[in-house]
Amino acid sequence: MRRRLMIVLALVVAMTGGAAVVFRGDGERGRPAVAVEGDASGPGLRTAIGRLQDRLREQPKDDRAWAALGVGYVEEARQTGDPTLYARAEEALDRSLALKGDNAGAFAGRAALAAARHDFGGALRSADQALAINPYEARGLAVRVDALVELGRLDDAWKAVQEADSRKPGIPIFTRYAYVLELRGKPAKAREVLGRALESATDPADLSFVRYQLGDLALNTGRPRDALTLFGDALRDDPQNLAALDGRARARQATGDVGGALADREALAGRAPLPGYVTALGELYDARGLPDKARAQYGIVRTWSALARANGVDPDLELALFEADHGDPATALRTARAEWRARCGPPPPAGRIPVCSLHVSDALGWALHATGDDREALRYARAATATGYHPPSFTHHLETIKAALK
Amino acid sequence: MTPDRPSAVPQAAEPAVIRPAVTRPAVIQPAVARPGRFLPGLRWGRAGVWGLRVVIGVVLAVQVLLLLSTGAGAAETRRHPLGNFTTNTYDGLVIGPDAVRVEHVEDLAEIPSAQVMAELDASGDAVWADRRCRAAGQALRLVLDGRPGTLVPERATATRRDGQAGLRTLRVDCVLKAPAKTVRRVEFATGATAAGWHEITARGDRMALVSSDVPEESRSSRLTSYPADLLSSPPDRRTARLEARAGGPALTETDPALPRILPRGSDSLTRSFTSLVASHHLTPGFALLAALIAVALGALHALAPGHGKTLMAAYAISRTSRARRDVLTLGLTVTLTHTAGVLVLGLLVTATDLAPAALYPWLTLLSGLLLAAAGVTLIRRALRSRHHAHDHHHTHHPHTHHPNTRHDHAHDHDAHDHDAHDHDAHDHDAHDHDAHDHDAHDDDASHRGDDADAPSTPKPARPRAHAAQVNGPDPIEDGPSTALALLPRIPDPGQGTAPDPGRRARSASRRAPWAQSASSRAPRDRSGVAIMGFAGGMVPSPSAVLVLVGAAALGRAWFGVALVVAYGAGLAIALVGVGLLVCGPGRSLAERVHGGLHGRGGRLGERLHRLMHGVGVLPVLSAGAVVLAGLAIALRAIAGT
Amino acid sequence: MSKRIAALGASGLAVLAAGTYSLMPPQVTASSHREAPLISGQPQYDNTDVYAFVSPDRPDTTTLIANFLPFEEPAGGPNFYTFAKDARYDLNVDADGDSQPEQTFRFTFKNQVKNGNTFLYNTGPVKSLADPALNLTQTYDLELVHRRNGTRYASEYLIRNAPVAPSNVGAASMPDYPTLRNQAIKDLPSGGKVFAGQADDPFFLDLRVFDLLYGTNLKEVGNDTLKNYNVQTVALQIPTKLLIKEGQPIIGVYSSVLRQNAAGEYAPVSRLAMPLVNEVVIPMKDKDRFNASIPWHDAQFGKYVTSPELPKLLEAIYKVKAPAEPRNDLVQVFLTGVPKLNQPPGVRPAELMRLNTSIPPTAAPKRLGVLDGDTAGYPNGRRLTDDVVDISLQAVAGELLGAKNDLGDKVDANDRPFGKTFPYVALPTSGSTTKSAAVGVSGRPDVLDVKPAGASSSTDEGGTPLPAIAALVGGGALLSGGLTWWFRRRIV
Repeated sequence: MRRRLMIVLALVVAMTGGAAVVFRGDGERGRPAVAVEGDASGPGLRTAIGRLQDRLREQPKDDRAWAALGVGYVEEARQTGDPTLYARAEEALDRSLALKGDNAGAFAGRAALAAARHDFGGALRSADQALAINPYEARGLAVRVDALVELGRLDDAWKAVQEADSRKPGIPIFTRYAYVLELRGKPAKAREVLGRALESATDPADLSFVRYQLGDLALNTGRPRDALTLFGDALRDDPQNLAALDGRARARQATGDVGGALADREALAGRAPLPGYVTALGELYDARGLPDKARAQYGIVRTWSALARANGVDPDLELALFEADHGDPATALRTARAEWRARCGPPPPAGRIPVCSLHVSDALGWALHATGDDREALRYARAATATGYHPPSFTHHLETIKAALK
Repeated sequence: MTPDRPSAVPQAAEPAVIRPAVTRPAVIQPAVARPGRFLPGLRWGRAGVWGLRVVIGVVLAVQVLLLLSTGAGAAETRRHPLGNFTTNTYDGLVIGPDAVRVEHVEDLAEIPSAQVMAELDASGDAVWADRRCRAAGQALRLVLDGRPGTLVPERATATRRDGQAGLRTLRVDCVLKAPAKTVRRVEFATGATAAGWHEITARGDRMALVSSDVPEESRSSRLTSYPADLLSSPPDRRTARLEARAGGPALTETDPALPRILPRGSDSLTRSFTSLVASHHLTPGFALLAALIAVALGALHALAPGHGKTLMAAYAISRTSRARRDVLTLGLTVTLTHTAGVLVLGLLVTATDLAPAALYPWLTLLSGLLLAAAGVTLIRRALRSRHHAHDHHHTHHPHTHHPNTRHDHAHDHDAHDHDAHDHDAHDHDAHDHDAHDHDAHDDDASHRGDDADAPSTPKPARPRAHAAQVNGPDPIEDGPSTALALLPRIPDPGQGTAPDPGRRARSASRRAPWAQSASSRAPRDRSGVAIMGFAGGMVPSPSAVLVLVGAAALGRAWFGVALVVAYGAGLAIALVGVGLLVCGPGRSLAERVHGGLHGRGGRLGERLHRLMHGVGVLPVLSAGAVVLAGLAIALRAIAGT
Repeated sequence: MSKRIAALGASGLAVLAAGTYSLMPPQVTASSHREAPLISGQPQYDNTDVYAFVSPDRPDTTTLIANFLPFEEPAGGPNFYTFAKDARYDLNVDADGDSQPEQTFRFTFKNQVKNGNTFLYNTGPVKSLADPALNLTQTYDLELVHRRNGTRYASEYLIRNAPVAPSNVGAASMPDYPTLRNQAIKDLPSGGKVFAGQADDPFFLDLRVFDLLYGTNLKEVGNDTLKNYNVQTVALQIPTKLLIKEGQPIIGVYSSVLRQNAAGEYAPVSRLAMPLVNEVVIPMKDKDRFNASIPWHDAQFGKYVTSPELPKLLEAIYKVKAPAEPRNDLVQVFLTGVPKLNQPPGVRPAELMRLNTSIPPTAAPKRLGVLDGDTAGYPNGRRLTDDVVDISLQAVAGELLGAKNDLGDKVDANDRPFGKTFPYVALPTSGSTTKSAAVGVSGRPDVLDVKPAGASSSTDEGGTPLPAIAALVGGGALLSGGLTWWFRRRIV
């Protein structure tokens, strides 16, 4: 973690133009907060955030530190899955913008926030705002790619990521570069890029993510054994990497180690009972012939939906897929259509399906299948796999729908 | 730390934390509705009507401000620090000479609660809690001088609470104990893996901590309120390492939840005030501003829980003829006692490292007893007063009977009839029509009254006032129960621990009139009042102490003192204000009305007569209330909450 | 007072606005779509400082030093730092003033792991660079790229597989670090020297000086923020005649870092010549653009030099009159070099560190360099001992225009002494030096005699005001309430 501290410091320094971020407000003048015990054991991001908080207590006018803090909260939300951080991020970014109008960092932060909240249109707008001020804004460049990917504009995403790569090469861009390649059906090239990223990465969290993505790639290209080792390494680099734990569960299942998969799934549901993870656990119980336990899990996912409704939030794709499989197909269809409308405009009439987010197409197709409209379902399932991106779930959906049509 | 208050923990905490918006009106209510019900005279006095409006207005303002000031915070604290799926843990280590105690608290948000709910329903809360705490005892890793210590649950409780979307959340309170003779090195690790707020504290009990890498106080006062400061992240503490040595003061705090410096009352308002004082250069202008704010805080404090009893006292006294002087005395004693108390406590806090929280129960106990005593004197006075009733009736009659008064009535009467705002009028009429009817109607009537003119009066004050009406039971008998409502596990005032309006009205009609003027003869008035004031100011308000200590910490002690005095002044203003308001118009009108009564009989006369009768019994009631409140407070002090 | 109240009100609103978020529907689950990291700490590519001076002990040679990877924490555990493997660390030398390098000295690094089975940096005490106990070692190639009009036409390797001086992880692991350091100093053909490895960060300043940018005065400065932090250093000592063109002794130096991107090309990510340019001259929004650009295009940043932000801030805070614009004096310091000192004939304005190699080194260097009449120092090149923060502040405030001032950060020298011989930089702080050593000594209390302008010094705490105002209003309400009543009852 030490090295992490250093990195984190550098991040902070970079974000604040070398300003005195590293000082405690506690009167220990001249003492770098690095040396302060306690949080040092915690994840580096938290440490960075702590440092920014100290910095801002001392210098509340530091718009860059506010922006950095905002992005930091978004990152923390990404890692912990804690949605309440979004509100904090938003406030920090607003403070930053209040202090400085033409503030690429803050706009980029807003873009990241919007993307995290699944408002990909908004993310794109904010990212463009940021890049209008500073064409080299690293986060702006990165989030722009994310937004275009999620909106299903893969060609634009490809252009965007190449541009980003020439302006701000770095792990955040490399991983996105690889992902776009994968979505465009070029797994080999994606692997090559990730290999380069792995060579370049030093920060445990970065290493962990790159290995996770390599594992995912392996899994999607039918190499579950490689995936297993890669996810294992990812977890060794960063035990907090829940995505990697989820990946290992998938890989173990794929390699027939259902027991191990179950262990991972149960740990995951214990650590972060997010809908996707809980659903997967339920399905694993079903596969294991434990319907009661499975039902209990599905109950929890329904609790999520209830919360979503109570908070006036649309349940996301995961909940849509859940409804399609274990709940109410009508809800599934409604959710999927809503998602499509939000990302790719009004659903097309008959004829060719325009390219939209592959995952949305897949979900919509599957929801249609659940409601029994397999003819329509097939069109979307095909659209989802048209680019050559074939994760097991997509293939499974496509095959099932085809079978249903025979 | 005393392990013998399981369920009390969340209950005590909740009103403050979970729904501040709800509790506050209940507290402030007495000031709102009292005049309407108990100063019938007001209906005939412009002054009264005005005064009433002022009070309502003020109280509303206060409420709104309180809500405002806590608004963001409250909304945030009501949700879990890390969303709906977190399991938050607190572990409070207490290193004692013969054992290490761990107070282990888990706060499960909606989703984790849902995960265990089936289990819980199957086995029942108690059993489940016990199992959970045993599991916790095994999951927690405690190493004492290098040897693993075994934590055995001493107590386990689970409490369900309402969460979002009609879901439940769970709170698990465990007290675990591992025997250990004067342990030197303690290593501790929570097995916590779940995302959430993870907090560890450590303190010594007749042992001294030589070194500790965790704080002494809980930032969330044991997962009851999660501070939502943009510049501080939820703690994620999962290990602790301590070194202890024998000796050191006993851990006097009765409630580990109480931070060392008086949390209760040290509300966001005060905290931000102290930080304001801290963060600004001391210009005369700013000093003035600060002083004003201090006055305001004092006034707010007077309307807040601590002083419900004193308000009531003010009310009780206001029935005497020397009311104004008495009320002033009251206000004065309260202020003096309070200011003195704060200064002393401030000294204690800054000079010695004695935990003032330890002092509090005793102060509270004393003040409770004093209050009870004062109540008794009041009762005796009130009872005595009844005898003289009639002569006073006669002697008074001639003076007050002359034409103008009659004119006055007419005028005021019309005024009232068209006065849509004065809803007391409504429920009073209603109350009148079926004065001898069932108690329930009284309330119904008041609702009718409200609803009736709610639309016609779009001023924001209205809905609030209405809410206040419906929320709690009638404020006056509420006097004691308001105080009680602040205490854990005492039946909710709603469930009529208190006499109810209807019956009172009825009995009132049988009582002898003019008791009030009679009681003016009672000799030992002043003493009672003084005691009461003393009791009222006895327990220094945490906010004030905080302000003082805060200022002192900034090397601005003198400024702190000034602020505290200002604070006391605010206190006095509020008390005296209410007291005078209550007694002022009441008395003057009583006389005029009395005159009018003899002028002509008729329905109006009838009604007035009955009302004036009602007046006589109130001192008894409210004095009784005072006694109850006093005892209750003493009780609470002993209970240690 | 009124100002303060206004301030209260303002941030009070802010608080309100902040408060409102809790009212809007929160998101129940954090986002679930594939999310790659946004933040990635990669400081190996960060250029911290460039130095160029005539070698005091070998006046016929010129020493060029560039530092990278700021804030290397010496203390605590297995803590080691390396140069990036996928980067080119370039020191560029322009000999004809057209801003384009004629020579580029390019460092590229490789890792060697002796024992792949352990993650340990060293498996035992390290006596020499060849010691097998030193598990992870870095080596580098130094390539000299010859350019015409900026474009490469030839190149040669001056040295291959030279060892990098390791991180000084502590006395236990490295009982005799100076030896290791000396073993890392290599001779170059034609009488040069080269060094790459860890060193104490020679830059000394109080980072809080940058709070000027937020209108805060320098009340609390005086600590060497970089005390006890290390950096990765590359140092070159080249016979001056090999650097300059015949009869033109003035060279322009800048370092740059190129990083290999996903497409396999090398993209410029960091560039540096004169100190503080990135911090105080180029505004945040253009920093990245600047770092990715080449000096040839520096005209685009000219406006930041001719009408800089900093003097205005200084004027606001210290009432030091901002000199009239355009600031041609600063153009000379930062872009063209000062005539008759270090400005090459026919210079193309560009942000380079310009060194007149014909000025002999002085035995007694002055901290304030040229400002103090010592022409062998900054801004004529830069020596390790030059107090560039104070010099820059004073220059920006108009010292060169005769506006005398004594602005500064009150950190006047590095915490550890510099070497008398190449590579001059001080030995890195050892890992066994305790963290507590990081506590700096505070400077003289009130640094500046100039009174700060009142408003700028008060930092308003967000969060405070609203409740304060609320309470104030509340008190008002109560008071007025009482008064109203008194008033009313008088007339009844």
